[in-house]
Amino acid sequence: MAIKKIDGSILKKAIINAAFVLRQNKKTVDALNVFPVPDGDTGTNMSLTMDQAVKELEKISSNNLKKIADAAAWGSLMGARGNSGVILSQLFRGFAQGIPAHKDSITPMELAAAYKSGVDAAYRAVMRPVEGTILTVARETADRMIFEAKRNNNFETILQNTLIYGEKVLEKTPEMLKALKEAKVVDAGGKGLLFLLRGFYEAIKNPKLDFDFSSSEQNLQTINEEVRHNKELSQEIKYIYCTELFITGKEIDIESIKSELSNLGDSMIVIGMGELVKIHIHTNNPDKVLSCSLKWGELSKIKIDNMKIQHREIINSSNEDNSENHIEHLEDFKINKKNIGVIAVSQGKGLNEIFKSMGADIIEGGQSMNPSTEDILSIVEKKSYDNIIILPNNKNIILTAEQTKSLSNKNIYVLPTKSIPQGISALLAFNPELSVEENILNMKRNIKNVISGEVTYAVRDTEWNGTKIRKGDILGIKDGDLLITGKEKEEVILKLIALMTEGRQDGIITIYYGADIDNYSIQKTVEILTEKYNDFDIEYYFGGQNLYYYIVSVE
Amino acid sequence: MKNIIKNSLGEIEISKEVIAVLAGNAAMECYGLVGMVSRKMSDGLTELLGRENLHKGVEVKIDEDTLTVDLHIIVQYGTKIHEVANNVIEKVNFTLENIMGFSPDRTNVIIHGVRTK
Repeated sequence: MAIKKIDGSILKKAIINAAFVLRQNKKTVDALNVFPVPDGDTGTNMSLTMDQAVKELEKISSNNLKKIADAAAWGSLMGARGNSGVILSQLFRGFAQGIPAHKDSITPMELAAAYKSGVDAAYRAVMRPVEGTILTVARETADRMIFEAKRNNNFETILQNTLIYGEKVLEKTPEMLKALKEAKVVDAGGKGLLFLLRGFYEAIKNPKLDFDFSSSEQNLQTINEEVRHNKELSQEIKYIYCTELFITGKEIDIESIKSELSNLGDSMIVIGMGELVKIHIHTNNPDKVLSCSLKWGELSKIKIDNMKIQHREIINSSNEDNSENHIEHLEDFKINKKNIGVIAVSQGKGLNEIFKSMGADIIEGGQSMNPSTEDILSIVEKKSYDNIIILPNNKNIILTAEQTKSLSNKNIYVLPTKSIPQGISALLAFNPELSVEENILNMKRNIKNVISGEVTYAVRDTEWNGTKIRKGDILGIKDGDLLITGKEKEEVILKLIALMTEGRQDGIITIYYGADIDNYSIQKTVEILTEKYNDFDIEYYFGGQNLYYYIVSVE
Repeated sequence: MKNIIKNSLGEIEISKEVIAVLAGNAAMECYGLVGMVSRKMSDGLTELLGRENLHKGVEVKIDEDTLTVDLHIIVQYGTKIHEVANNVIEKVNFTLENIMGFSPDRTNVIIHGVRTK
């Protein structure tokens, strides 16, 4: 019996079955993946994208054609993963736009036109379409479907012929794309698309087709060994583990996570804000990524995939269950963790927060209010760590801190940081996963790279290098040396930064402004600096410290 | 500098411009990216770049130990932007690593616009 029309419920079933067939074959698709990046995840990405479309479809009870197409489009957009996933979402988006509204059923020609509209939308979203990819297969099959629909009106025949033609196009993809030819494979995305079309066709051919989508993870056919071998020759993966996780915490500083993680691998993405951050990175040290992340809060949805193994266990549709699978990773991590804590001497609400957010414990203190040995000792003893690194952040406190060494049973290391900027940049290098010695070395190296400056005021009349300084004059200090005097805070900080950046082409200027500086003046200062120091990155944070109007670092 | 490869006979230096062109071309093949804009936007105008001067949309920064590539792009409306950006970063890193033998330490994507047509 010829099928001349399909309605909403059939369309829904057909899309779901398409996702089902793709999911069953996703590893075959993964194994073909050499372009644009040979990371063997095309099938998984497409399948996860489709899973989300199915989720949306299952949510709606209506059999309205348009609503069903829209749901698939929305789901695939939300679930889009990887290049092929994004392309798929565009195909569905255009497809949904191409479905006529207020119709109960569509003819083969209308379906073909909607598919073509999907292909058009997909092509619009790329600047330089690469032929020999899923795009080529989509375009060719859409044209073929229109061609077939003009000749007859039976869905079954049309889809079948389109599929046969699609296989032929797929076979030609290595001729169109060099990367495929070298690896002796056909295009992965194109293959995935044909699996979708096949699923679609099968559901329409057999409307009574019965399947259970949610339990469809099956044993899959073995992948052609030759394909796999060729692919291994062609791929050069530098970082093996694709690591993804979420951090839930308070005031997570994305920038400092980024700077810490960026040395560990590539393809790094750190997104989110304040309380929830997602991290994605390709690395050879997922353990370090975890330990860095742990400093900021609780971890969830941890996913570590070995990108080199095609037969890897892929975390499937139920993303929610991921955390369970990976608890063992976390347990491993806890055992590995070296037992090191950092205590920083800090003063001012903002600075305290900055230090805390970087994982240090703080002791309040600083210029003219040095903490006593006992103050430091009491914090040291409170901590559960056996190894403690102290950042005095003031030259007058270094000695005090040294004295705690003989008074405590713990291993105490005092890193002689003389200023807040030195302390902060030392802390940036801290990695709880490394040994104490390695950490000290890294932290010392960082200290050397930073120039510190302070803007404060004279507490009494004095004379310096032949210049009279009156009580209340503004002083600019670079690395402990008093170099500038003036009457205006703004004038002094600008001169001071000019001295600090001398001989440098670029870098980062960070300003921690004190409790006595209002928003307006810091913004104005930053504005002037931004204009003057074009090639520098200028950052400013509320430090909240007393006595020092500004604390500046240049690195 | 990060863009110099040393061997026993001498040094190979790959200029910023070359890196920019390679990165721009790699990015352009990425799905969802529909344009690149000039990074010189002092006058507030974003200039959509043609194929010849794509490298203008790429900012390459090099110092002793880091190579940073910033890509200033326009994406298609209706695509999942962060996924597109993710794909661009992966593609650029992979391509540069393959062609030059080293990849950027940081690859940043700055999305300057969304094309709605």
